[in-house]
Amino acid sequence: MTNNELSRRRFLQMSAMASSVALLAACGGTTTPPPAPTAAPGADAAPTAGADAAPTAVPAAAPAADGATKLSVLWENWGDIYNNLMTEIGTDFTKTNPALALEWNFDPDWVAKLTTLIAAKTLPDVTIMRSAQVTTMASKGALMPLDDIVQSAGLKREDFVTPLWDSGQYKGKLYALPGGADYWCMYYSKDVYRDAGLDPEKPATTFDELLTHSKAILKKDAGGEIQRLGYNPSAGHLQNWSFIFGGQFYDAASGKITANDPIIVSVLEKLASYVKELDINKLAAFNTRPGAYEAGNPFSTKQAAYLFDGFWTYEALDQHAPDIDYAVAYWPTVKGTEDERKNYMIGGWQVSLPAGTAHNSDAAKFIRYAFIDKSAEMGYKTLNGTCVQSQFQAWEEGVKAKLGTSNRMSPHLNKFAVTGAAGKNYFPAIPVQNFYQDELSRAYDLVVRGERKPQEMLDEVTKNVQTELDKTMKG
Amino acid sequence: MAQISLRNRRPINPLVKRNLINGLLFISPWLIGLLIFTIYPVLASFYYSFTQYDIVSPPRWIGLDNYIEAFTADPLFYRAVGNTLWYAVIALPLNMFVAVGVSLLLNMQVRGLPIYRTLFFLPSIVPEIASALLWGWMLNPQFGLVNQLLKGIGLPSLGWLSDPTWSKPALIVIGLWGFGGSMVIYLAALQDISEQLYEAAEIDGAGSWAKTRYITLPMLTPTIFFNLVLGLIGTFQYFTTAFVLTAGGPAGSTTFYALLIYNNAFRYFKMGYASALAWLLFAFVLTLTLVIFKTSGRWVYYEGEKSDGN
Repeated sequence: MTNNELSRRRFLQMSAMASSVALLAACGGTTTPPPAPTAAPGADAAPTAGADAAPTAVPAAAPAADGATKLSVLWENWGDIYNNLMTEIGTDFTKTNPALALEWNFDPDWVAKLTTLIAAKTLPDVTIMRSAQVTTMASKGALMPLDDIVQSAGLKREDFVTPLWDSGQYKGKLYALPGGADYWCMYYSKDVYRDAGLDPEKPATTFDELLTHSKAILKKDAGGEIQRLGYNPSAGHLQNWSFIFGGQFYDAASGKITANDPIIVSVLEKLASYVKELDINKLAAFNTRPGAYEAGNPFSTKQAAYLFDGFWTYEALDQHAPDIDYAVAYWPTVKGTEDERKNYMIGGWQVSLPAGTAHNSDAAKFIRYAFIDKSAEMGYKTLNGTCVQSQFQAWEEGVKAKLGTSNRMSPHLNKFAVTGAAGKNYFPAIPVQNFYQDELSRAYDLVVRGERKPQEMLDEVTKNVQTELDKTMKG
Repeated sequence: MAQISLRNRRPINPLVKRNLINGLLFISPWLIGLLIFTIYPVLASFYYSFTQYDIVSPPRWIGLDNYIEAFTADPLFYRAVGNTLWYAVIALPLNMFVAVGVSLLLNMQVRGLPIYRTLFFLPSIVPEIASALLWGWMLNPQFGLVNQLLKGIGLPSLGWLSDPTWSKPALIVIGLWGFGGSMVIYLAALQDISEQLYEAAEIDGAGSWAKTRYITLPMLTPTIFFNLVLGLIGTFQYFTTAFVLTAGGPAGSTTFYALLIYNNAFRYFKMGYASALAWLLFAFVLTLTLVIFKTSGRWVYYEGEKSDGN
């Protein structure tokens, strides 16, 4: 029996050996970095299934000088194609700044990662940012003000896409530099227009016209299932339409939530009335079809007339629907006038520098390079929209050069640029933004299903979000 | 009593002591992991449940406010509780009933039994997310296989995951697909029942139903009890399939309690409130489990247990 027992001396010997092996393995990993990938951007063009599901670390791709300072960049995981394009910006930067290299870390849940890194005081040098997080993080002193960087470039608020600029502010200072703007337009299917007896050269320009055209386009089968759909409303569109009709979700001066703004109530009533005609359960069933970027999506199969999205959707359409005849129009407004385009809502992402890192000045160089000096290039290379007003033309030409003149999107790029330059609205950049949006989605859902009335529901949303906001601001 | 315990205290044999230390050293990686990754977070979450905490700033003590908010101010709390109870009350008994029923069938001596057992068990080894996505296609209202079958026999197609009326039943059907895990446990228990009991019953003239009613089911009660407790805990933590397929919709009909915790923790970063919700769930499930344990003496039969003469 005793022969089979492990002596303490032997156990410790084995433990020490195992620890040594583990330690050596760990040291080996840090002292000998893997070779930098040399693949050109876009070389790994095929999207990887589940690319968004897992964080991926991409080491600096540029040939950095020996002993170059490494800047860690935390970024949202948009999938391999976009991630690779992003790293190309870093490669270009390193070419002009050989003493600086970038180490990208792509994570689908970057917000959770960033907050954890802040709590652990192991900060990235650069991070992607969204307006929902700016106030929370800036108010805790977790971010650096970026006004000096903008001033050094000789720029000011009006030189940027202002919704992105304004939503990056906290107490008069800029904590999130506009990075990529999402300016959306209305894709419409000329094939569907023709088939429905509508003029394919005259898309809807007003909200009312959009609904009228949609009625002409709507086709149901004998069982009432929707076979072809015109306008497909959504909870997210409640925000766009509310702004277009002149509504506001937040009064920054008083710090009051205004979800029950009469204009928003009336927009919700209009949308609910339209959905009632479609039958919400039939519409929900229709919406279980593949999404806009997937093969077989209803716009690609000529079963949906409209798609509201950014210019980048051309790529999915080229891939999944090379034969459809589509065009792009401005997002319809109330009267269809140019002046109303200022009411467009512009979303997007920003970039921030966490406070307290050792490389703040080097990181500042990078964000000025990528998102101010080379904003247009960053935009057309990475399928994002530039945020610098003076670079819209360069951006448009860059995208056109990339697409070629024969691409269906090329003639329409200017509409996206005009939309981006004109739109002045953004969803309130408050710490409870996610909760606010979820509450609006809940309100939309319950109202279009006829379970609640728009006014009482939006009153409830106003109360709930205000309570949360007050609590957060107090904390 | 104290004298007895003193008298019983004997010095530990050096060999036993050495083995104990070696044993503890061997399991120390697991023990350290348990302390760091389970015990500490559990205790920390209890503390955080009395604070306002968003990770970025230090937790601020707010007493019972999070608990009060759950019952008085959260617009989704009662909806989530209702949905979860609805699911638990229907899904758990149904799952147990099907698992016991199928295991009884698979315990019969028929040809190709191993094949049947494998087939019934296979779904339970499919990863939950893969199975959810698969069922998402099967239950698609417009071109899913299930609705095509319904149409084929002249029945109307249903909104399954897109209609609030059918979303929870759809999830219950999906959950039923993975009954293989508990079925295997029932099968093992069935095979442990002594043949002598059945032979004695047959001599007394018992038929199939009588044998099932008076031998099989009573002998199976410890396993039923085990699966009931585990199933209870599992159903109250129901999350993955609903998160993947419906994300709480349509119209909040699948906003289960665990999803409410997830949203508060990882969408709104209300870690304190999410911790309070988690502790409320723990308290509720613990109470239910204790009730089941307390009442188990009345319906669970243990073969080795001495009768108290009742």
